[in-house]
Amino acid sequence: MGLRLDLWSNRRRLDLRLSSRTSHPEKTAAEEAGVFTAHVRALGSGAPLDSREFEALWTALRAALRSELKRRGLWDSPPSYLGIFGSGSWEPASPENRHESALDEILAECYSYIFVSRLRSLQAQLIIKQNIDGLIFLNIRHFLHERQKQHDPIGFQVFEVLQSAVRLAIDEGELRVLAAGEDKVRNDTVLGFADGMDLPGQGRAELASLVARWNDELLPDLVTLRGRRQEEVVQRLRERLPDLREEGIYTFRFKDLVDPMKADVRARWAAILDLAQGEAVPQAAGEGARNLVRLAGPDTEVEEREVFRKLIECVLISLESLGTDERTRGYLSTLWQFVRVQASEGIEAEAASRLDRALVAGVEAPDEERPSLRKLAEQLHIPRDRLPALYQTLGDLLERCQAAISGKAAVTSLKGKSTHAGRT
Amino acid sequence: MAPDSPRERLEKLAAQARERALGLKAELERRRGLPAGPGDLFVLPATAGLPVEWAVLERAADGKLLVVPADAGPPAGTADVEVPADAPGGPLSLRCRFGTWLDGALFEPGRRSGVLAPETVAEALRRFRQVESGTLAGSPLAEEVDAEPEYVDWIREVPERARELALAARPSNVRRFPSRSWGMPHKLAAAFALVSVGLSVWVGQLQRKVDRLSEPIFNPPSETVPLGEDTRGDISLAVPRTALHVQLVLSLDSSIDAQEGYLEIVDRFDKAVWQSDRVWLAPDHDYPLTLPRDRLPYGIYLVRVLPAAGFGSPPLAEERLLIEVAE
Repeated sequence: MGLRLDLWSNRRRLDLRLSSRTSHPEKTAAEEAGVFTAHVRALGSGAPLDSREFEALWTALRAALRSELKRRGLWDSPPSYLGIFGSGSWEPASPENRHESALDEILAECYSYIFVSRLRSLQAQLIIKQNIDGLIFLNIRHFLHERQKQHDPIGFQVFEVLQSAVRLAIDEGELRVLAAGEDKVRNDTVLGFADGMDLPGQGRAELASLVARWNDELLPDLVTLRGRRQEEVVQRLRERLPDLREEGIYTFRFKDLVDPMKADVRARWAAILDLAQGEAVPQAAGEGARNLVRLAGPDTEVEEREVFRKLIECVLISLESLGTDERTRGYLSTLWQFVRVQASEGIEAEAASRLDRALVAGVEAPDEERPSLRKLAEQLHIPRDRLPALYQTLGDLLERCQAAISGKAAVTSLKGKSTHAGRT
Repeated sequence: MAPDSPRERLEKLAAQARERALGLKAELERRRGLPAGPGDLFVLPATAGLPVEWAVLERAADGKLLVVPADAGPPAGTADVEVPADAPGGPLSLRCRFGTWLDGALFEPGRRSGVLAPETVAEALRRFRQVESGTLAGSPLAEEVDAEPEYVDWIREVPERARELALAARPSNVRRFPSRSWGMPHKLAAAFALVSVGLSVWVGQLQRKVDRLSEPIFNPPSETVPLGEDTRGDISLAVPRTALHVQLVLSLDSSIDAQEGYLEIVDRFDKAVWQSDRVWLAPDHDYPLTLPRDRLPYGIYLVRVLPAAGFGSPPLAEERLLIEVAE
């Protein structure tokens, strides 16, 4: 849940401040240049904040955040991709509600990330620097990067894998950067094949069908292979890049490629996520009790995010040492990454947003013929009849991890644990 | 009870941040003047262009420090130690892959920026040793971070670069000139002016000397002379007989108020060996001074800080300096 700043009561004071400055434009420019630095100094002094200076800080931070959202191509995306729910856009259509915009909500989060959590680090830099405004802009980038990773795991993962694949192709001399503001591969980077001749934008219509064909081959690994194994899917995607040339697309913006790819993956994922919302875990043969793995989005509280992260990690570690065969371990790993994405996806904050509700015991048996299970099996390339036992194993591991993290039980029993999903 | 408005909640957070900052200030004050030791965080002028601090993990008998770069950038990868937000010094990632031994003189007490918990230091040391021995085993989530292009770029551009810069720094190199102090051109000009005094008599000899002095000054014997703080005994500088220059870093203590004034070195007969122009005396600032070796023959000198009233007035601070033969 984000903080929503109530600037309304200070609006008049802010307007007065701005109008009083317009008569001295050169002074205003000089003052604005160090507004972030001045704020860090003020916080460090321990003195009460001056409301005028605070409003100046707020205005400058808002402008910087909006600019970075646009630069990252997030301005036209739903705010839910960054964990802000309840708004379809960053700024409300009605000016009466402008003080309650999604932008103001994430602005408060951003302020907390930079000026509360990282105050000591910023003060450290003031020992050897006069002006640290540049560091604030850097921190805004880090903030959005982390938010995107947390709340838009599919978009984030597709972006990273494609970015890595393109960088590989550049390193190998097949692709080259034609024009970009920076030397890194970003949304606005224009790329071309060595013998590229056409203009960026040509063939964009064909890109959607092309990346859909790629995704046929790359999913679910594109989303579920992480860490050391991510390199495998990066290499597979890199090998697909010459298809662009065969389609007559010699030059393209990175955004032209990554956007349809994200959209296609999201659409496929949504098809099973929506149906899986709150769906009961299928029962393994002979099992008496059933668990329910629910969609549970972590909210923005630091503590809860940390619990979420620990749970994800605990289950991943447990899977590595689970007493089962490699094929089953692969299925479990894929299914766990699916559950992870499921629990991170942008859902309404009012929905079950606590990870300690991820496991709900004692629910009724599901209808095993539900179409979502067929879709799940198809999308994840897991035999459908294996899903009940796999879910059961993950549920057990999650329960133990949850108990271990909350201090209710030891974790030592996790290693070498036998599994319901033990058959091949 | 009605929940806080977002603005009120934010102000409470800011108040917490201020309290933490004051707590840190008090902790740093307690350590004021102490030499750098395990658990300390420092900033270095040599890496001022990068958003890094340096975490001290260990001190060797010879005064060298084992340090790792630390930053609040991307999350921790397999070779990093994450300092959580609620732990001392956090949130921070200690980039243990780039740990290195640096001269302890680089870490001036006035540039201490924070303190880590002992368990964080122990974990970072363990991680550093694992990197060294090739036995590093990361967690699954840390391995995911390793694979992120953003992380790869950050590591290359920040901690890796920071280590290069820190290794290239020497205590004398990292001392910064205050804006009103002497710059290198002035120092060289002073050196050459000195040489030219006896030019009419010793033309041939001085020509050779000028040639030698025209060479770049590299790695001269160097020592910091603290001025305004209590020191035990003389400050001594061992100078090889072959040295052409010596470098002194005149370091003003924070107890000296900022003001206009002068710096001076006199020999044991109170004869001026060197006198500065009128300069701005800034507390906690260093004033590097490079002199031709023959201006400071072996012996005892007094280094003085003088007020704007001029030379001959009671000094604001004075320190004995012994120039001795390096064996």
